[in-house]
Amino acid sequence: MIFLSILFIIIEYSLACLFVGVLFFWILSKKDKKSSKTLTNLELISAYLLGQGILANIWVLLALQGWFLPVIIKTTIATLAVCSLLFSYKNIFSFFERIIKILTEAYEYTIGWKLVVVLSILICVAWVTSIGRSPLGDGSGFYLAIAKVIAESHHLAPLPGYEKFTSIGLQGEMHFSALMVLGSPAAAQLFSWPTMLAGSLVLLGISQKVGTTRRGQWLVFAMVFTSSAVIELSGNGKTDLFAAALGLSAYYWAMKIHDTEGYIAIWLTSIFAGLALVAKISYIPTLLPSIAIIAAQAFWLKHDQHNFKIKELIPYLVIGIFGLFFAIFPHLIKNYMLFENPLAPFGISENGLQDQVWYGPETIKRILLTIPFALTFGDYWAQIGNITPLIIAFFPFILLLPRQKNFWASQNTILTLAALFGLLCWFVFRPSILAPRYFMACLLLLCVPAAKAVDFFITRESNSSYPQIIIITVINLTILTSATYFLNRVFFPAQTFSYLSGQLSECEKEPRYCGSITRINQSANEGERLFSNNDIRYWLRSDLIQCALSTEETKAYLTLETPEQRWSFIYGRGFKVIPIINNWSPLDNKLREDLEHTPEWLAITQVKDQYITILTLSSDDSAHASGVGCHQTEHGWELFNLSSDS
Amino acid sequence: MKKKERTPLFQKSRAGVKIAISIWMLAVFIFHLFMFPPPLLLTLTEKMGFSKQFLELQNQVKPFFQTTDFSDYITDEQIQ
Repeated sequence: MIFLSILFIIIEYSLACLFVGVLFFWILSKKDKKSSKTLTNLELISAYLLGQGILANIWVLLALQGWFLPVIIKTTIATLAVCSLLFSYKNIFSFFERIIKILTEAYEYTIGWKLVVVLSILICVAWVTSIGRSPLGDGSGFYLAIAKVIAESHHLAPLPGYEKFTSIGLQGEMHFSALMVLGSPAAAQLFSWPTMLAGSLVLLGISQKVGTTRRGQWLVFAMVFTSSAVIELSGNGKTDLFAAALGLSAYYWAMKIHDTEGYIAIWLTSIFAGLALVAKISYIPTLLPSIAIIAAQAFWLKHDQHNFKIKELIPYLVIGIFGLFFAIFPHLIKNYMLFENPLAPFGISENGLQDQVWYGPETIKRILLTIPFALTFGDYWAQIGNITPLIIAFFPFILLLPRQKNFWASQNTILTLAALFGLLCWFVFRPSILAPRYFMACLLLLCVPAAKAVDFFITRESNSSYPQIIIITVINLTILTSATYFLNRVFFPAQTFSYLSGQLSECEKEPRYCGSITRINQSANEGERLFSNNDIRYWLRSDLIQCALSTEETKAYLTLETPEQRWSFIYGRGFKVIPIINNWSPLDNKLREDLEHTPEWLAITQVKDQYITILTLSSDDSAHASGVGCHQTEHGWELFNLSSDS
Repeated sequence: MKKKERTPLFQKSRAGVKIAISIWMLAVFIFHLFMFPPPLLLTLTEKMGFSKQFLELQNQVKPFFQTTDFSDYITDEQIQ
């Protein structure tokens, strides 16, 4: 029953996204409703992703005004979903017909390739079992936490403890929030799956455009779902896959500029690029230069290659800038309203998000000397996954491709060069950050030339030749070993079954902290202030998240020198409950030390378990009264000064 | 004049290239298994009695693909 409800909510929301995208297709192509029935399957997938991006932007604007109300969200989604069924059902049926046809085509493959198809589908479907995964980490600390707060307060405001981080683009987070409003946090946790599935189908579209056969496209599919950088993001509450899917769509439409009439392709390229940049600001150094290369070639192929006129380029540039601006405009408004700086996170802090340097010189040097290997086998700090080993294993097959008659006219060649140039730009600008999720769209493009080269090779070899046998064996074993490696790391079938059968609550997905979190949620008063900046916040009550410790308070606290000053600060700022997680942060460590030196005016009760100690503070001393409270306003829970209020 | 038909790079030494690429594919796959061994492989090494040597070798190779020094931007708390 729970599974059906999750499935229903994801399908309903996806239909809503699809209709928004289809509407935009109609507007951009200036076609009537009849011609919309002729949307190709890839246009339909693009419409779905476009709708996602635009709907997230609409949610941001609503939440900024405090209008993210359940009645508005539910009505909007239901209406859009119904419209989607009414106006796009033929497209949807034809899409599934095509999928069935593709699957039946696979009957004619050799046994090895049949296995590739089956295993690829299985590893993709295995993502469902990440519903049972605990999103502890960045997911529970920020992405899911802010979604929960928006869903319950109906308002978008900086998240305490992550105030400046709220300046990032909110795409995935808004979908999470809308899905929570629809009543399913699990659907929110799973929503990156249909998104990345759509993204991978767009990548198949790209590989089709460069001439890869169906078998090669299955290989691309296997490559995506054996990339640990993709698998690791399944069900952990992070939002990087939204950017990847949008970025891949931008690449697809950039390639389509040369064979699409009118300006719809450049509109979609720029809108998708803008949405991808909003979803992941780190895409700037990789996405923009690589898109520019692909779009320039497509423009060159579309127009007279020997008699180029600059005036033909102008409408493309103008539309490109408009499209980009259209996509990022709500993000600029959000940052202007919240931080008075539309360009945030640029310029809102010293040593800010855009200035990150993770590694020291020795590590950076080693990464730069081994880039393809570091991206495939690396286990660097915060890397969170790699690209599939199939790319690096199959890349040498490029040597066996026929030489191009016209080097610059080959979309495969330019796509490869664009992807490599994008990566080069990343390592020039950010050599100290090795995180495939920061430039995943660009990185995944490399699946295409590798798959095409293998595809070309195997169509000219007999099925029993030894390289062909090795290729098939390596693909199948890579899928199998990837799936088993991530069993109980990302894929939790038993835990998912327990969750879906109602034996496991949302909080119990994180068994270490759930007991304490439940205790806090049940015992804390409304608007209680928690002295805590750790990542368990997603499971806390929404009012407790909104009233929790701010970054400024953390900074002020850490500058205090004596235990007496620190306890006075804590109590004076109205904090009454302190969850201390063992070995979590300097803040928690300092608190544990200070427990040995509690002042006489302060009474502290402790409740301990294996992982968390919960302190409850009280005092009868009027000289140490709390000066700050937290109350509900029309914008959610906000701090107020107790002395001035009275 | 009739243009000469384009041929793959390495047309002449195709057999040699095929052997080299086959070895490369296997090497990449085996190294990947070594770096990220699935549970079955670990059980297998244990049953065959060389799990200790396997892990020792892994511990010698892995640091080459791991962070050995951090910038000042990263705090100890984040590293933990």
